[in-house]
Amino acid sequence: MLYVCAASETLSRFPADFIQLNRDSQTDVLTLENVTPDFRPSPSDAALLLAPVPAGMPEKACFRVVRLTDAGGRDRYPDLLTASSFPDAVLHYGPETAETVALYERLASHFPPERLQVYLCPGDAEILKAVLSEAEAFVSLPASAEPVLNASEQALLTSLCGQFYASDAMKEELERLLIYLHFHCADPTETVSRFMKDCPPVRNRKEGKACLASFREYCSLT
Amino acid sequence: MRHSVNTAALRKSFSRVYIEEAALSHDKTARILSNLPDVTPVTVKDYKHVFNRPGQNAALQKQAPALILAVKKPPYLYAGAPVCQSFGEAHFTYTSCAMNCPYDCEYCYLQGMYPSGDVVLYVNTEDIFAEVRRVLKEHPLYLCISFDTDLTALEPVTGYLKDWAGLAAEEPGLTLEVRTKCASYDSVAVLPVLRNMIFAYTLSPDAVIRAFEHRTPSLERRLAAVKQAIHDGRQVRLCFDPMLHIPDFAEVYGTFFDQVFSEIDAEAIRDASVGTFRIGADYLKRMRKVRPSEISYYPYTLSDGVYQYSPAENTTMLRLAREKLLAYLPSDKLFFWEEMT
Repeated sequence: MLYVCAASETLSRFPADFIQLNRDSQTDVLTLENVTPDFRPSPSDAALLLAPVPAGMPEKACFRVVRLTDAGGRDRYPDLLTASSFPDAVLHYGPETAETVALYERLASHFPPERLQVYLCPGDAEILKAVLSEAEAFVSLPASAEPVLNASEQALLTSLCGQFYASDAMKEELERLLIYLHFHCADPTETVSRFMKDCPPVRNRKEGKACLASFREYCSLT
Repeated sequence: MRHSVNTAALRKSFSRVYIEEAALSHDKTARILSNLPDVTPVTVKDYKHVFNRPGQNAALQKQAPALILAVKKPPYLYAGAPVCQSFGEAHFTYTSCAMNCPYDCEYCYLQGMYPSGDVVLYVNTEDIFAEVRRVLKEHPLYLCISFDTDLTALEPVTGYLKDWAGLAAEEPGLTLEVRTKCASYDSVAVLPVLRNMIFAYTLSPDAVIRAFEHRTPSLERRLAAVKQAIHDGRQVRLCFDPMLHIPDFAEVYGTFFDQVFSEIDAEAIRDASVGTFRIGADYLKRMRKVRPSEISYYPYTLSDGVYQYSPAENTTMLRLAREKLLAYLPSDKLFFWEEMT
């Protein structure tokens, strides 16, 4: 679910058909007033916060907020970062952005930074649509900080590193091979188990390197 | 449901257009904007402020790309890269009047080359043309104009192919190669038929197209476009490049080559190129970061700064291609990209 969030006053400036457009199963419009402490989004949910373009910025443009800074220029939320094809903006905490900051603080208690986007955009229907299409694409992607390997594959990597007496460089290569198997095989753990069954005992790093070379070849043939 | 990029979709796919200040008054800017009536242009001082920003996610941008109109600065022509097939041409050169492409191929080197998934169109093609004319006074030129993009797919918006065809018609010393996966033939059909304008269609098995060449037309549709181009008397090149080391490789590619030449008259094509996947080390490093996948994380061999399949894998793949293709084409029409050692 993508929550499109804005203060009721901001929402009232948006075209009515935009609000209707977003009332489908995957997107919900949420006003600030409804974000109460008992609001419980699921971990896969994301929020798109829309705020008016502050004075001094081009009226027809749209900006992704990457950082909020206080009046002294210090980062207030340095981790507020999502991907976007819009120009970035550093939003200075001041009277004209009070609404944005209040909204962010309210939402930030419910969404981790990588699932929350803040955009400054006008009430222009076309620009709103573009923001929404980008936000919908964003919510369908895993969070950028999410590692490729899942917990069991990560445990497998740790185990292989130990068994191969792996150096840092060998560990990096093992990780690359496991990522390859992650995308390529239905069950990477089973694939690695099959290899290890035929692998001779490894007693030192030299033998570990030889085994790694065999594992590399095995992966390319799998 | 799978969607490929078609003309109407292309017109709607650019949700935003950024225009560099220097490009605002250019006639090609007006032409391009007239083809995009539904977008809201945003003026920027320098296109790099949008295209080269840090912290972008090109994979995400590919889903809703912006179009950036800019003015290209010299150099306008580049020597062909060693990883590219030169077709034995002495003056193998390429140019970029666009950066990035509406398609989304997982193996594409552009993901490692550019920081953004947005599409840049340079509007001052007349400067590139002037440089081409200057070089042609010194020697003939073999010029690839659709390496870092797919100009045929972008033609409904740009009209650039028509401009290039006009130049090629006036300059017999110029040979153009237009590399494409586009199956929409309408934009090509209106171009003059020229001996020195080669349409190079990249073909892949449907299994590869479905798995890795997102938003591209099916093999069936690409073959239909190839047949139309041949029917019109155009110079047609078939590019079996890159071949990918997929499971059941021999069966998939063997069937594929037979399918292609069961539909295409081999005698009617100019030539064909074959190459296995390879990519510069720096590009692969960036690709792994922006798009981890079985393509970017395959255990390649590094040789001379280029990641490629192992010599044994390359030999197996190229041998199969050679054996199959020689049944249809004479050896002087076949160009193989051999592994770098």
